[in-house]
Amino acid sequence: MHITTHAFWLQKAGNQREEYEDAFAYANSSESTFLCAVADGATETSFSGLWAHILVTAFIEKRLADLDAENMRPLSLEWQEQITELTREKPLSWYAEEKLRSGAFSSFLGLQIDPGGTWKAVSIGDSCLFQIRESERIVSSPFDKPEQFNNRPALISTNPSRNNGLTPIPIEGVWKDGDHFFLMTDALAHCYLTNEYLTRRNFLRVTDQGFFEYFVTRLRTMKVCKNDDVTLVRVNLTSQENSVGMA
Amino acid sequence: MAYQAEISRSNPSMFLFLIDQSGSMQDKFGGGGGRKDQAVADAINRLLQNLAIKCAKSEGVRDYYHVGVLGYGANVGPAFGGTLAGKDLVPISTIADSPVEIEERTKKVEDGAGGLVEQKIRFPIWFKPVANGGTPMVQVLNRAQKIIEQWLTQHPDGFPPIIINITDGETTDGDPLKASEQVRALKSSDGNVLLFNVHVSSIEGSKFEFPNTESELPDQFAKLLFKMSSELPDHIRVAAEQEGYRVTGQSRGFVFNADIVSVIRFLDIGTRPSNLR
Repeated sequence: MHITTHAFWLQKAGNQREEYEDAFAYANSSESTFLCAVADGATETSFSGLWAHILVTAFIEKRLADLDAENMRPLSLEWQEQITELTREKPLSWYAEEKLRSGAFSSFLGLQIDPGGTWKAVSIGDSCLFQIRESERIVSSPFDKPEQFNNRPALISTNPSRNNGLTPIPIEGVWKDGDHFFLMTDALAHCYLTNEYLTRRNFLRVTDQGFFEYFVTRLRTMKVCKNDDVTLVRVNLTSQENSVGMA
Repeated sequence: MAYQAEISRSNPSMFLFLIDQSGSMQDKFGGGGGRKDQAVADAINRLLQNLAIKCAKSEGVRDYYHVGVLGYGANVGPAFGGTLAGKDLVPISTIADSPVEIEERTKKVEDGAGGLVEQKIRFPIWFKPVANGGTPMVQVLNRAQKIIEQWLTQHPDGFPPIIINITDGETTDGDPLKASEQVRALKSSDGNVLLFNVHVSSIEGSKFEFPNTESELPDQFAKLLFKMSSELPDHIRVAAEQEGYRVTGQSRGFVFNADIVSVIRFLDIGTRPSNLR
C-alpha cells in the first residue's frame, strides 16, 4: 500500500489565521495501518480549536480508537490542563469563566486504512468522508445530501455530561488501486455535495495551498461555499506494485 | 431569502432593548411573585449576559452586535449608567466589560454522573429596578426608529436589527401599534427589522411563549403587544422547534410572563452544538 496525503485549510474570511478552529492530522505509513482525522471546533464555544486539535492528535496516536466516554475523559482533562496553563497569567473575566464552564465542542471524523484492502471510519457531527473511484463518488458519510447539514449538529464536548446522547456513526469498505478519500469539514463538504461537478476536479488535483485558498475564495465569492473555516485532506491510494515513482 | 446575512465582526448586527421603567412596574407579578420592575431588570441583565457569553471566545468578546438599551418611564432615552451613560449604541464587548457590579450567585449544574452539584457563578448587573412616571411607549418606539434608521444607513446589507421591548403594556401616550408598524417597516437588504415583546403582567395564569394567535391571551395589553410583534423568521422558528418549542409559521416574537432569553440562543453566528444548553 502506498499512500499520498495532501492537506489544505483556510480560515473564515475576515478572521485571522490563528483563529482557524478546524484541525487535521495524519500519520504517514506505507507498510502498516494509516490513520487520518479532521475535526471542526464549534464557533459558539471557546477554546474549541484546541479541543479539535486534541481529538485528531489522539486519534492518530491510537488513543481514540473508539469514540466512547472512557477514551474521551482523559482528553477532556488534557484540554482543561492546557486551558489552566494558557490562562494562568491573568484572571478570567466573568464571561470567559462562564463560557469555559459550558466546555468546548467539536465534530470529529477519523479514517483508518489497512494494507489488506479494507478501511473503516467513524464520525460524530458534520465532518464528512467521501471515497472517489475513477472520478465517481462511491461513499459519502455521514451525509450524502446538502440538506442534511444545519448549524446545530450534536458534537463531542469536553463536558462529559453533554456527550451522553452522542451516537458515533461507523462505516467501512474496501479500497482499490487509484482510489481517493476526501475528508472535509462541514462548509466544504456541503459545497462539494452541492457543486460536485464544479469542485471535484480541483479537489482531486490541487497540490498547492495557494491554489486551494484561491479556489475556496472564489467559491465563497460565488456564494456556493459558506464563509466558515474549511479543511480538505485528500488521501490517494495505490497498491505497492503500482507505487513506483509516487511521492 | 431574508435573514440570511452573515453576522460577524466585519458585518455586525444590532440589538435594541426597550425597558419599561414606569410607575406601574412597582406592582407585583401575577401569582404573588416579585415586583415587575425587578422582573424587567432581571430580564435585561440576563439578555445582556447571554448575548455577551454568546459572542465570547478565548481571546475576549467579539463584536458581532452593537447594542442599545432605551429606558422609558419618567424619561425616555439611553438607560445605561456608569461609563456607558448617554450612549445609544455600544459594541457588545464594551458592555461585557462594563457591568455596574458583579453578584456571586449559586446554580445547580449537572455533575456528569447523573447528579447535580451547586456551583458559584458570577452574575453581572447592568440595570437595577426603576419604576417612575408614565409608560411613553409611542415615544420610545419613535426614538428607536431614529436610532435604527441611522444604523441602517451605515449597514444597509446587515442582518436586520432586533428590538426587544420588555413592558407591562400599559402605555400612557396613545396607541403604539402604528409606531410599532413604522419600526417594523424599516429594513436592510436582508429583511425587515424584527420587533419582539416581553409582557411582564400582574395577571395570574399560564405563561405564553411565541403564540401564533391572540385568541387565548388574557387581556387587551397582551393582545396589543402580540399584534405589535414580528412573526418569527424561519431560521429562528426552526431553532425554536429544535429546542422543543411548539411554534408554527404564524408564531410571533412575543412572550407573556415568560423568559425570552432563548431568542439569543436561536441567533446564528456560527455552529452551535445541539447538545450545548
